Amino acid sequence: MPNIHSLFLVSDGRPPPRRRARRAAAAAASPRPPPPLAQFGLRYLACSIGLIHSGWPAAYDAAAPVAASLHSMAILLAVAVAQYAACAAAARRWELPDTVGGRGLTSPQLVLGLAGSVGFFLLALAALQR
Amino acid sequence: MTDYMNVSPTPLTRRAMRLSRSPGRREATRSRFAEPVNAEPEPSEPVLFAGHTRPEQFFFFCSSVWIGLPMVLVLFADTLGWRRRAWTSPTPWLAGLANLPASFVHWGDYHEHGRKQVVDVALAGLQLLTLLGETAYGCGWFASGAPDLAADAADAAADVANATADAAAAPTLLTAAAAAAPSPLLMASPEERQLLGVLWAALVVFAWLDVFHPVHSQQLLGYSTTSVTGTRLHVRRSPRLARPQLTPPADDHPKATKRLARGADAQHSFVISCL
Repeated sequence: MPNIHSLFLVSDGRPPPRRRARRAAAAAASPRPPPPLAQFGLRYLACSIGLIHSGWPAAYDAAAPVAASLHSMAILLAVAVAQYAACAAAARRWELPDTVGGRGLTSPQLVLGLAGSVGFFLLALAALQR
Repeated sequence: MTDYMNVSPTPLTRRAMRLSRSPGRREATRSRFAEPVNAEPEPSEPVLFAGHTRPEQFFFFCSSVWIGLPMVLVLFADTLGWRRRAWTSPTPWLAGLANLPASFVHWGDYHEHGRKQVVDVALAGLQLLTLLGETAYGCGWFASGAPDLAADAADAAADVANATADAAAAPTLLTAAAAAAPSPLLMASPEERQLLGVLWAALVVFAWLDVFHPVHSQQLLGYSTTSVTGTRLHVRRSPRLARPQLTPPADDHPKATKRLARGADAQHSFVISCL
């Protein structure tokens, strides 16, 4: 009588396709890692306080500094969230692992990230002038 | 004759009975014992910060650019349509000028507990401290006695007028600093001071969550936030405390609860001593 367990073995040692598909579906359905809230909040608040200290948009009256500050903070938050979404999409596209360690970012990733961040920076400057 | 009713249950039976008290636990029991052979290991919740992941590193690298935003607005206020305040201390912006490349270098080649991380964190702390000093000076938190809000508002309005004239004449940062008005209070309205106070309070909360990751953020937010400063603090702990248990063990044994409390106290005292 043949060994029934040998029927489920594959030659390359990998699990059968049905189990691989089940694992892939489970990985796709698993929740994404949470955003780095503390770091994001720290950077956003530090930049917002710096913005308030630096001044306010010329379109606003000097008598309403709080409204001008809130306007600047809202613009900064919108651009920062958009940048985070773009970074998360790029990380998924490049399949950056959700693990710690290993090699660092490659040179194309650094160049693209730098160019994209400068683009978001210019976008924020343009939005703050309006 | 054996009395089967007096036979003590096996440990597995006791655990199954304990897990089956509530519907949620019954479901957990079913899922745990459904496929005992082919069951895959459940993804464990990360309870200890071990470093930033690659997507986080990439996001922090990209978001380092925001350090220079206020500095650029101050330096090129006229070009960018920005109304500069009357007096701007160059100290936070100089610290930011040093922190900007350090942050890019740190996150571009991120290694836990590396020298670049130490330099970046130190410069970021220096920038925050200088910015806090400027806020305290601008809001008159260091002024003795109750501030005269009406006189401060008049002085601030005069400062704004002077700054506009100065910016038109020589739009440089140091010139604006040299032409500082004598008024100590730059945030004219109390609403603006309140706004800055709230922002600083929120920043302190985020810094607290960042440093004390993941114990408190796990309890408050439901998940662990990431940490830069906490990296060093957690790694410098003794190996015995390197794996804190956020939740009590399955068996609520009094000794286990005491061990958990001792570990949390030791962790708090160590972090406070490091700060």
